[in-house]
Amino acid sequence: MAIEFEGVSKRYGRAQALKEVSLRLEKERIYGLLGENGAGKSTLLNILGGRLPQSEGRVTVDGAPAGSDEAQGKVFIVGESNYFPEDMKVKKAFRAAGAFLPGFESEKAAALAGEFGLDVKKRVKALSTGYGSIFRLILGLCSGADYVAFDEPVLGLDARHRDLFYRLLMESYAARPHTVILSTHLIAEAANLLEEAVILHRGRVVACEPTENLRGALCSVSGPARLMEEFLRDKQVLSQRAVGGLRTACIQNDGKPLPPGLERSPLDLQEYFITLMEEKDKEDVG
Amino acid sequence: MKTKFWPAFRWQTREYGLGVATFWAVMALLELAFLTVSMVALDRGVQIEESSFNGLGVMAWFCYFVLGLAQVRADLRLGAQFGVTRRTMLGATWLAVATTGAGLALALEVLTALGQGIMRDSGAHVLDMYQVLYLQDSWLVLSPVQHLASAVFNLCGMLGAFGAGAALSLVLWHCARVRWVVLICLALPALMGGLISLGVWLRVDPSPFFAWMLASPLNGGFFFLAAGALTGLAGWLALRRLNIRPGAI
Repeated sequence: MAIEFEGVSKRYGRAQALKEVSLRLEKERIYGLLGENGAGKSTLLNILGGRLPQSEGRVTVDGAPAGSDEAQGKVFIVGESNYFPEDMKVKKAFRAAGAFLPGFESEKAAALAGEFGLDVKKRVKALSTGYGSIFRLILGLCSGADYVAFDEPVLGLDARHRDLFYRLLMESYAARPHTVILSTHLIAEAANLLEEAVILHRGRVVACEPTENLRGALCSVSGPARLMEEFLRDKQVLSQRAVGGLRTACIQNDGKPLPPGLERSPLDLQEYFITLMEEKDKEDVG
Repeated sequence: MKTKFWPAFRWQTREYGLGVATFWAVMALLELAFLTVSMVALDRGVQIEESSFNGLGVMAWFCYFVLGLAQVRADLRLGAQFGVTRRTMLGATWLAVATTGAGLALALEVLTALGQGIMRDSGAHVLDMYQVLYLQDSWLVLSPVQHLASAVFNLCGMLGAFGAGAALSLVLWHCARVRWVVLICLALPALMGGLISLGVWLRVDPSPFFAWMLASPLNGGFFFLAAGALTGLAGWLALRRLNIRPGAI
């Protein structure tokens, strides 16, 4: 059982936000949903959450259509946007969560509010950007849903709170394995949490692999400029930069031994993502 | 199949119930003011020929129209946040509206009955639309059965008004740009005015329709219920492919 997107497209007038996205998100895994601004990440999650109907294609959750009661009962989306009434206070929002979500952990939510310093008597609309994010991520951490998606959950959070969120996420996942989809621009911070990464570029899925595979797919080779020039002659160079007499290039990792004088290092997920986006941009221009 | 219909219904009933309870309290205060003024006047020997406090039911219709207009989007957003499908949320909302509407209709009849009991034979009347249209006797103190009929008539009006408000809100929600909202808001009264002018020009006589409406409260109630059903359907059709947009942050 899983979340499946089959040939999903979404158009807003003439603009196409998603183009034939086909994807399978398995149970009890932590996915990173990565992409540049406007890549279609939020659109994908809003379609999953039944807030937007897709223009084409099919989305199912454990076999049930995404817009059905059965599917919606299993999915909880923590978005950037506010779906709560203007006058609703945080305390009441937690009560509403308890009323609508059978698995919602009300006591844990109250405890986390205290831990984060969230004032539950404040109106949701009156919260700052950071505390608005904290409010929404507490809902996500306590939702009890089988599939929980966080869309930019750490927006506006300071470093301490971001660290606290990641720690709580792992504790929650360890205590109750479920599927987590984390859409974030802070790839370097979240990289160690992610088991698989789904990368979107201009509405299309360009990668959907375990993060270990992605890190191993490319590598960075560096050395003296003269040696590098010779080494790179027959290689497809994805990106390169020169500092003084040293040159560093990003290439496909074929695993073959390097000539003496050159060093290879794996790319971290963020470097892989940036390189991939640059490559895709060049392909689109070409 | 698991749905969240009953949790949504219970939540909506509580929320709408608090709102209509506040409305009823305001109506009670207004009636109290009328009764107080009347009794003070009578106490001072003033002869009250004919004065009335009426429109509790019509005010309730307006209240439910505004609820439909202003509240339905907030309800659907909340449902979207908590995994309640739009169909389930709209259905639960309608049932909550009917339930709270029934409670309000009966509670308003209590106010009417109290007012009529206190001001009996005084010339200061407390009455409602049902009595004005169908009994046409301001001096009549309604029997319990007549109060019940009045409550049912008001409930039908409330449901029709809620449906109209909700349908308008959902249709306008499709408009991504303000200029489309303004255009529709201007076009609707222009269209209504145009249809009336066309009817006058074609010498269409609406009196048989009004005669039918006034012939029996069943006819009037049926008309409002049918209006509610039609507008409810229009609202659902508008909602089916709608992008449920978030509120302002």
